[in-house]
Amino acid sequence: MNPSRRDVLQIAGLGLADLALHDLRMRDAGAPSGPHHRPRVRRVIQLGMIGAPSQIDLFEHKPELLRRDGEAPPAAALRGERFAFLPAEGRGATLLAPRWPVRRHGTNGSWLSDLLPCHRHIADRVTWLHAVHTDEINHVPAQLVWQTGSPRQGRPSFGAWIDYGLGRLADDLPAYVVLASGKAGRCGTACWDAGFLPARHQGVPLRSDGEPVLFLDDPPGLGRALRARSLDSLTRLDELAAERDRDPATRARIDSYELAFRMQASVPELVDLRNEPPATLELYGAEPERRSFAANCLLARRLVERGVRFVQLVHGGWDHHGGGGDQNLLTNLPQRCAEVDRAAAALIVDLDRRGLLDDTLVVWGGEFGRTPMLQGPRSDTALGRDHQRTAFTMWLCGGGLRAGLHHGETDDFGIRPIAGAVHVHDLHATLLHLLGIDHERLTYRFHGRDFRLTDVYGQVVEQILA
Amino acid sequence: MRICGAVWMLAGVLGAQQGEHPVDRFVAAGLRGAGLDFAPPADRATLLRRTSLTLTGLPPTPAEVDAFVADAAPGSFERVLDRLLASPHYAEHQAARWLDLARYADTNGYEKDAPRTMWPWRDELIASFDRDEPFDRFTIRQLAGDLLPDATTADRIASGYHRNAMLNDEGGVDAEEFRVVAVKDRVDATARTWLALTLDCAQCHDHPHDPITQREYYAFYAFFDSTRDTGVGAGPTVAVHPRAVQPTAELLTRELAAARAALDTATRTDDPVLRDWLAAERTRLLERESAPPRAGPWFHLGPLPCDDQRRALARRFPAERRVDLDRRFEGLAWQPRPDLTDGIVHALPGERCVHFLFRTIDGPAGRRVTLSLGSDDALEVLWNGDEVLSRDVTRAAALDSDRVDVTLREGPDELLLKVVNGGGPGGFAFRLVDGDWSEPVRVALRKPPADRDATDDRTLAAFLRDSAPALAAQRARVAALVAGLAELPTAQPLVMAELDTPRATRVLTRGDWRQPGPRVTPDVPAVLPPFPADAPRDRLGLARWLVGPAALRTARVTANRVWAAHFGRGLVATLDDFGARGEPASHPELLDFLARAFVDSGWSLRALHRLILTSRTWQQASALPADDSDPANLRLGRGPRYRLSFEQLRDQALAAAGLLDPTVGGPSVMPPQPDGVWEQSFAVHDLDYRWRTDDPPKRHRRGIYVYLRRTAPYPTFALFDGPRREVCAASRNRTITPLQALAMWNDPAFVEAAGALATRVLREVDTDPASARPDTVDEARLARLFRLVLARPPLPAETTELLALLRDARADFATRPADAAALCAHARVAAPGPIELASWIVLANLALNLDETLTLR
Repeated sequence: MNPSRRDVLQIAGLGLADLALHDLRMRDAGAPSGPHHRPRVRRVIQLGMIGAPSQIDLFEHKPELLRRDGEAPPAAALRGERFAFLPAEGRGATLLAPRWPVRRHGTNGSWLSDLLPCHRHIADRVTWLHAVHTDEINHVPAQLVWQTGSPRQGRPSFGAWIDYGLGRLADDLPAYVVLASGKAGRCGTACWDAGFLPARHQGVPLRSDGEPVLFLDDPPGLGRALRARSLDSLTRLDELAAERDRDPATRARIDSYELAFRMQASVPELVDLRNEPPATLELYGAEPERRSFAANCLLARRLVERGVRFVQLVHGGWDHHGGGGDQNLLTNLPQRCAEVDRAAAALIVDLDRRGLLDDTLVVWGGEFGRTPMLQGPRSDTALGRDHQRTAFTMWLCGGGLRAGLHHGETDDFGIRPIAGAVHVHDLHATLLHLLGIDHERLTYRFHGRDFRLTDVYGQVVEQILA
Repeated sequence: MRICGAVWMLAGVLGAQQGEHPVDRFVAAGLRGAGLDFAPPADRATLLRRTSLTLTGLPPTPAEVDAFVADAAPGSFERVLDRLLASPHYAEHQAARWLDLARYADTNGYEKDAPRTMWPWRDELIASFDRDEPFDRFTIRQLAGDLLPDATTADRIASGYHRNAMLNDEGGVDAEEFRVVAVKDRVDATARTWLALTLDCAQCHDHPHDPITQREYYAFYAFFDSTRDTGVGAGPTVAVHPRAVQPTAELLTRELAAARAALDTATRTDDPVLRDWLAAERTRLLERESAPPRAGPWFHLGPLPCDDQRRALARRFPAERRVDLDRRFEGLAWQPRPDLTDGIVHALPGERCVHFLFRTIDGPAGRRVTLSLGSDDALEVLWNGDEVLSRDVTRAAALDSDRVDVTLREGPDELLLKVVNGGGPGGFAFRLVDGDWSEPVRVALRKPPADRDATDDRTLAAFLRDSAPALAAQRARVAALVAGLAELPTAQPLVMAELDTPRATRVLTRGDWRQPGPRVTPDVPAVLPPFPADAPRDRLGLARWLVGPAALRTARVTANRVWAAHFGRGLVATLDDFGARGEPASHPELLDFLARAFVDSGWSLRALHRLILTSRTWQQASALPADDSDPANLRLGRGPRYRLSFEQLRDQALAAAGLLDPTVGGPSVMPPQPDGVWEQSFAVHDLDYRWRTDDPPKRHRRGIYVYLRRTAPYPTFALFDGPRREVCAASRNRTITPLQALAMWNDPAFVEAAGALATRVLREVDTDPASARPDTVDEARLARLFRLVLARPPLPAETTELLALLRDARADFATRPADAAALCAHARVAAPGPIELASWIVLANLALNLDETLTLR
C-alpha cells in the first residue's frame, strides 16, 4: 500500500467503527455510541430457516399425538385461531403423527428426530425454546416480524439495528452480511434492509453468482495496480479539496474509498474456501466450488472471525404443505434436514474449538412453525402441515446462555404454550440484551416518533440467561 | 417570465433598504447577532454549477460557464436563472423530488410486487412543473383532480397522486385490510406533505406529542375513505395514449370519424344498387320462411354420474355411439321432453354428471342453418353422428355461447348434445337459426317496401350499412381505422374515483380494521384552521381547504421544502414535522416571509426559487472557516454543501460524457443492472416480467426515468439512499459508504460514462502535431475533462498529479495492450489506439469519483 493512504488511515484513526460513530454523531443527534451494559456476545449468526420447519416432527415428543393420529384435533386449543389454508379453528382437520422416530439424546434428554443425527452432538450445548410465538400466519409478514419486528416493509432489520447501535468491528468488511441458499424467500431485500436508518446499515448480500458484492470487480483490463495508482491520485486530489474547503465529509469519503479498495481484496479472499483444510470442509459437508447452506455456515465462521458483526443466513424450502411436489413433507423435510443438520452442528463445534462461541450468538429457526394437523389428503406418499403461529421451536447457542436448557412447553399436541411462552419481540429484547443493548433505549427518530426494534413490546427472557 | 418584478416589489413592501435582498436581511440579523458575517461570494463557475445542479439536476456546459463568466452586465445571474427555470430539465428535476413525497414506483409493492402503470401520472407531474402550475391549483389536481367539475383526462391522471399507495396482489388476502392500509397511507402522505403533521401517530391512540385525538385522525381519514379502489387490483384506471403516439391517435380518430360519415352518407335506401340488393334479400328471406326446417321434440337421457369433466367429455358413452331411444343406459331410459322449448336456458339436474339431449331436424336438403348453443359446463355436439363441436369449459349456460353451422340432408337430420357438468348447477340452451338476419331486420324485410314505417327504415339502413356488398370498401376503411387505433399502445394509469355513496367511516379501535368504533364525519383537526361550514366534505373540499383556510401552513411547509432542496437542510430541519417533536425553525421570520411571498406571487414555485436563489445567502462560498463554530451551518454564514442525489450523480455523469438522452417522459427505462438483482423478488418467477436492459439512447435517459421496483430497487438508487417508495419520504439520508465508492468506480453505467467522456475529451481537443507539443495537448485535454465534469479548469497541483497518473497509465497499458482494448470494449468505446483511450478512461473515471464531483458546493 502506498504511504499516502497509510498516513490517511492513521490520521483517521484507522477504524471504520470510529468513522461510523463520527458520522453518526454528525448526522444522527442522540444516536447511541456503544453498548448500554457489559455485552455477553459481540457477534450474531442467524440461521434463518425460511418457509418454517416442522417443529412437531423435529423437536417434540407428543405421545397423545402419536396415539390420536387421524382423529380430530382438540377444539379448545384451536378456539379463535386462523390458518393460512386450513379452515378457521382447524374445523374438519385431522391430527397427523410424526412419521419419523423421535428419541432422547444428550445428558439433558433432548427429544430429537432421527432426521437430525448431528444435532445430538450439540443438544447439550444449545438453549432450546419450545414455545416461541408470533402474530402472523403468512410467510412474508411473519418473516418481517422476525427480521424487523413489524409485519410491514419499511422498518430496519435486526442486523441493521445492531450495526446502528454498536458500529463496526472490521475495517475491511461491512458490519452486516447476508448469505442465501436454497429456494428463494419471498421477502425481497426488506428482510435485511436499513429501513429508515441510514443506508450504510443495510445488510450486504454476498451473492452466490457473479461478483460476491455488487460492483466489487474492477472493469476488465483495468488491473489492480492501476486501480491502486489511480486511487492514490484520487486521494491526493480529495485531500487538496479537504484542505481547501475543510469539509469533514471529504475526509469520510476518502476513508470510504480506502475501505472499498480493501474490500476488493478481502471479500474474494473471504469467499474463497479452497484454502480451508479438507478436514474442516468435511466437518461442515461443504464443497469449495458450490454455494450451499454448508458452505455458507463455513463462510459465516470466516466472517465473524474477520470481525463482521451480524451474519444472516437464509435457507429456503421448508414450506411443506403437502402434495406431490417440493412441498411434500415426506420427501422434502428429510432433504432440508440433510442440508442443514451437519453444517449447523459443525458451525457450533467449529466456533467452540476456535474460542469464538463465547462471544458469538447463533440463532436457529423459521418464521413460524407447522400444525400438528394434516393439510391436504392423507396418503402414503405425500403429506403436509399448515402454518402455525401459536408455538414453534428455535434454538440459541453462545455466550451468556444456559447451555442445554429446554425452555417453554406446549400442550399435548404442540398447539399452544403452557409454560415459558416467548414472543418474537421477547426474543429480540433478549438478543439485544446479550449484545449489551437495552432494547428500550436503542431508538431512532423517524416521522416524528422514536422507533425501536421491539416497538412497544418485548421482555428479556431472564430464565435462559446464564 | 414575469416574476422578476413581483419579487422586488415584495422586497419593497417589506421595507428592504439599500437594495438588500429580503432573504439576506433575515439571515444577516442572525449572523450579526452572533458576531458573524456572510462568507465571500462563490466564484462564478462554482455558483453556476451549484445553481444548475439544484434547479435542473444537470451540470452547466463549458460554453454556459464561459458565457456566465464573461457576462459582466448587471443582471447576469438573473438571466441565468431565467434560462434554467425555463428549461424542461427544471421540470424533470422538480418532479424527481416530488416522487419521494408521492412514493412513486413502477410496481405495486408487497409480496407479488407486480408491475403497474403510473408513468403517465409522472409525466403529468413534469408538465405541471413545466408550466409553473400555481401550487394551489397543483394541490387541488393532485389530491382531487377527478372531482373537479368538468375534470379533463389530465386532471384525472393528476389525481393518481394518491394511487401511488401500494396494492397487494397476493392471493387470499382480505381486500378491506389493504384498502384501509392504503387510506391510512394517503392520510399520512397528505398530512406530511402539505401540513408537516405526523397525523399517523394518532391512528391507534391520541397523538402522544401533538394535540390531535384519535377521533380527529379518523375524521381526517374520512376524506379519503370513499374512493372506488379496493386495496387489491388496479382499478379504477383511465386509458391514455403515450405522448409518442398521440399525434397518430388524433389523426386516426379524425379519419375514423370521416370514414364513418362517408359510410353513413353512402347508405341510402334510394340508391338503386342498394335498393335492388335489399329486394333480393327480401326474396331470399320469404323463400326460407316459406319452408322452415322443423325440429322434433327433445329426448333426454341423464344424469349419468362422472368423476372428471375432461375424461367424461372425451369418453364415448354407449348412448352416444348409436342413438337408440328404446334402449336403457346404466338403468336410465330416454325421456321425451317436449317442455324443453327453444331460446331459453333450461336447468339440468345433478352435479358432476353427463346429460344427453337428442332431437331430429327436418328441412330442405342443402340448406345451411346455424345451431346456437349454451351449456353448463362442457359441451359436445354430434350432427348425424359426426362430432362438430367439443368444448371443455367451465361456465354458466347462456344462449349463443357457441354457434355451429350445419347443412341439412335429405330426410331427418339427427342432433345429439352431450352436456358434462363438472360441479355446481347444470343446464343448456338451444335455438335454431335459419339465415343470419336479426329479428328486427326480418320484421322489416318481410313487409313490402310501401308498408315500412320510420323504424323499419332505420333498421334496414343499419342493415345495409353493415351488410350490403356495395358498401364493402367503405366498411373496410372503417374497420381498418378501428383496428389501427386498437393497435396503438395505450397506458392505463391508476386514478382516483369517488364512490356514488360515501362510506360510513368509523374510528378503528387500536387502528385495527376489524374493530370499527364510533362513526365520524370528514373534518380537520381542531388545532388547524376550521373547515368551512358550506364546503363539500370530500377530497376536493379538503384540497381547497389546504390552499384556502390552511394556506399559510401549506405555504410554510412548501417554502421550507424548497429551501431544503437548495440548501440541503430546511429552515425547519424536520421537513415533514412542524409539530412538538419537530426541530424548531432556525429562522422563523424568514420562513414566514417566504411563505407569504409564495402565496402573494400566486403560488408560483418559479418565483419562490428565484426569490431564494437571488439572495447573497445562496451565492456565498461554501468552504468551512478554519475556526468553524457552526458545523451544521445553522446560521447560514456560508453556502450550501452536500452530497448529490442518485439522480444528480447519474445525470451529471451522462451529461458530462455527452451521452444523456434529453427525451422527456414516457415509460420507465431499464439501464444495465447486475444479473440477479430481481431474483430477490418473488414475482420474478413470472417469465414475462424481467429486467430487459435497454439499448441507447434509452439506457442513457435521466435517473428519474429508471424503472423502480419496490422489492428490488435499482442498486445504485438504493446505495445512494433512494427511499423504498413505500411511504411518503420528505428527505433522504446522505450517507457515505464504501459500496457507493464501488458503484461509482464499477457500475457499468458509470464505466460507460467514463468511456464516452474520455472519447469526448480526445475528440474535442484534437492533436495538431505541427502546432502543439504533446504535453500541451494533454494539459488542454485535462482542462477539458475538468471543465466538463466540474465546470472549472484544474489547479496546477491537480494538473501535475493527473499528468503523472496519465504517464503511469500509458506506461502500464503499453505493456498489456490487450487489457487496454478490453477496458475500452467494456466501456463500449473504440479508438485506433486503445492504450491512449484506456489511459484517458482511467482519468475520466477518477474525475467522476472526485469528492468535489459528488458534492454540491
